[in-house]
Amino acid sequence: MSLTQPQPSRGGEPARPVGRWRLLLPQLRRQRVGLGAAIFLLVVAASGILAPQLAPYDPLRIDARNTLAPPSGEHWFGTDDVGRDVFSRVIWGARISLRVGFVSAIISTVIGVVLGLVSGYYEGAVGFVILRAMDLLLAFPGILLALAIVSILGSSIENVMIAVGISAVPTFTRVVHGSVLSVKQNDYVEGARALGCRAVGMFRRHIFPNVLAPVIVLFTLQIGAAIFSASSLSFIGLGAQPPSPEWGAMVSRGRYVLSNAFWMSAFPGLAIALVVIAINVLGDSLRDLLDPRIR
Amino acid sequence: MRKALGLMLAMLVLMGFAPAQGELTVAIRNIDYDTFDPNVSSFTQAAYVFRNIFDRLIYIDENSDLVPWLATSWEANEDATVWTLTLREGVTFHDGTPFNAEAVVYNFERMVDPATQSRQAGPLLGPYDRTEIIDGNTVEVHFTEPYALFSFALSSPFMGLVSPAAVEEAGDRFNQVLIGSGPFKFVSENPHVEVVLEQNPDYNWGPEGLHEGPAYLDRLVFKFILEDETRLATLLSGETDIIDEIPPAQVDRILQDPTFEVFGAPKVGIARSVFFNTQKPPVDDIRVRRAILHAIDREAINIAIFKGVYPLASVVLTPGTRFYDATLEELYPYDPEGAIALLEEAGWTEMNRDGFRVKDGEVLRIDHTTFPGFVAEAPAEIIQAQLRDVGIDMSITVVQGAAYLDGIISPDSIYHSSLIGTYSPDPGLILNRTFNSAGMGTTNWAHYANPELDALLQEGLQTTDEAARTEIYAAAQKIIMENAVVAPIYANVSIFGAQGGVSGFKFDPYAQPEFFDIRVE
Repeated sequence: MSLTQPQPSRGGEPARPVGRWRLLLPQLRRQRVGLGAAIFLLVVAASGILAPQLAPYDPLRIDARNTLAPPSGEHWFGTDDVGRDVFSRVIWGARISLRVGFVSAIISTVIGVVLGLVSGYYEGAVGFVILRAMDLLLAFPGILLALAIVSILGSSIENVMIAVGISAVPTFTRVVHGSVLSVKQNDYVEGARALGCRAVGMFRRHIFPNVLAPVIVLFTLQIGAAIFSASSLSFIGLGAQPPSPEWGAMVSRGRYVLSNAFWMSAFPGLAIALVVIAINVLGDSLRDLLDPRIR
Repeated sequence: MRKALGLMLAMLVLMGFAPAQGELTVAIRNIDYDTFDPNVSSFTQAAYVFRNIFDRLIYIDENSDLVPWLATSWEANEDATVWTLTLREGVTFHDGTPFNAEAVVYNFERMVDPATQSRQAGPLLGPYDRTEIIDGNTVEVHFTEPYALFSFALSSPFMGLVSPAAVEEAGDRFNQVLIGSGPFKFVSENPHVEVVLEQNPDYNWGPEGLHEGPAYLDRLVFKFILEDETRLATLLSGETDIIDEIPPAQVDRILQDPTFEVFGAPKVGIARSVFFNTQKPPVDDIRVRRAILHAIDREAINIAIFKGVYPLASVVLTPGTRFYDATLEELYPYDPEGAIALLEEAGWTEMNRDGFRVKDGEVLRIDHTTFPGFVAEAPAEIIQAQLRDVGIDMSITVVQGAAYLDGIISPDSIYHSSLIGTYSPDPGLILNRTFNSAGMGTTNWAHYANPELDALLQEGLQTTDEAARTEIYAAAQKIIMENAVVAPIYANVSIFGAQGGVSGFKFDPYAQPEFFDIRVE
């Protein structure tokens, strides 16, 4: 049990005061993890953007004579059931997934923020209708809603962006609505109104800047959630269509040979997991940084 | 906690020693069946189940010979417009209703009744007019036109005979009682999860040469498991005795373990082919279609996906189908140069930046649809890559379930092509259904209308003379291939895996599993 014994101090340095460190350490460590996540995401984004230069093979090139080859020096992540290089496909997939994440998060943010601002500012009939509509959407699990929307629009990656974007609108609306309600109580808002500030100016100058922090955090987290939902939809065949190297579709495609060619599903699956975790970690850090109560 | 563990152990012991003899569990991939009422159903995999409950008049044996079952003999008049069937005596349905001439009339009338909405059985009766009862066990079936394939049609699993009394009693709910006269009785159904059948102990009217007396099995359980890997895992773990649709890439792996067996039966009939929508530009142009046939390298598809397990097809019928014309095999060799020449002849001479051909500002684009699963998706991806090499932009859309078929047959279909096939030991009926212009909008997948072909297909159904039919179907295959209506790719194979202890498993000529003669050790 030598581990529990106190270590003799080296070099006889004077003990440093630990109080301040103990308070700051968790926060610092969290930021460091957040920083790591951000760097990881930057690398993923860069490799997605530079996929044509970085990928060792054409992600669509079929090689009938080299199917289901295990990972090797030549094919780092192996090859799939029609002989395509899985590593190259995962890199190209970053392009698709990050784009889906960003675009659908932007869709939900823009619609959600506008609806939230309006419903928070005009609390009467307008706010009531918007909020009840959002409650209606919230009653369905997001993925189910997205599924319904894709079924109506048809299966394609563009429609998945729209579907996933719309299904997350209620979250944004509720959060922004709540923030607007509290911001509205402030005297300077009253003052601005008394001075004759019109609604648009009021939103732009006085209300929106004060609800921005939660929106940024939510936006970041939503990118991760959107990537995850879009992959799920592609997994069940409603998203990206073959031969598109979308991660969810790749995981799905590997299912039937999972026991003898795990790499077909495992690597794209790992990519989804790592990116979504990284985004969540980053979102947490952002919240800590932006929230004055924690800071 | 200890108590619970003890209880669990006791249960395990009990389960382990429970007499499992005579019970067979089968895992089936297709969970999308419609009903087990044979007169209504349109799903082949549903027939895997209902063929055990419902007997047919005629059985088709391993050698594709028609043998007596509930009909002891059958005879057509000279022009095959009137068929006389002599029925077996002493047969009763599971509910005690006797099988007789009235029952046959009732069944035929039910199949053709529009209210039944029969997808397979009704059409199989062809130009059916009426059935007359001659005596208690003889009927005369009248047709409005000669129908030489009637006796063959009767061998289809979809021609299973239902108990008239049970249908009258249950009405729309017949699919929940399922009373036939077969070797197994229906016990229960947990929709899309499990169906349980039990032995019919009174059964002694099996088809000649297949099996005498009741089935060996006490119970026959079907489980529906969509995921290939999961289904395979149930076989490997011993949870199921037989599974269907083993992916070709997995066959070797299963055979490594000598405790398992793999059975395969080529599905003969119309090859899985790229069916072109022959009315939709640009594939309404025969030169474009021919170019595509030349641009497809089937051998590459075989090596990559089918591992030599599925035979390739280069004619609309699969090798081994009756009347297969091997002389057409060399019509469209793999020839990308020839494909490019044909496309340029058709005016697709310019190239855009992505390497696709352009004519009058239009890109040479083909929207291909497919059902999910490697059997159709993976070949489509390889074809897509091969067509790209000659400058054709093919996009793939995966569509599930009923929407898929509706999507290709509808008159305003948005798709140019799809990989699909159908099978039957005698190609007469399926060729007529698939290529006769009468099936436009319902069964004519290629939207193809050719009066000459229509006449041939019609004639083929009316002639009993084998030599004449050989000529007719050779001519029909020639027309289909020369007009490049389809690009044949491969012959589907029914691949089943079984525990070593299962004996007596065989396929019928429809490539369907026959459970009647199975024993479990």
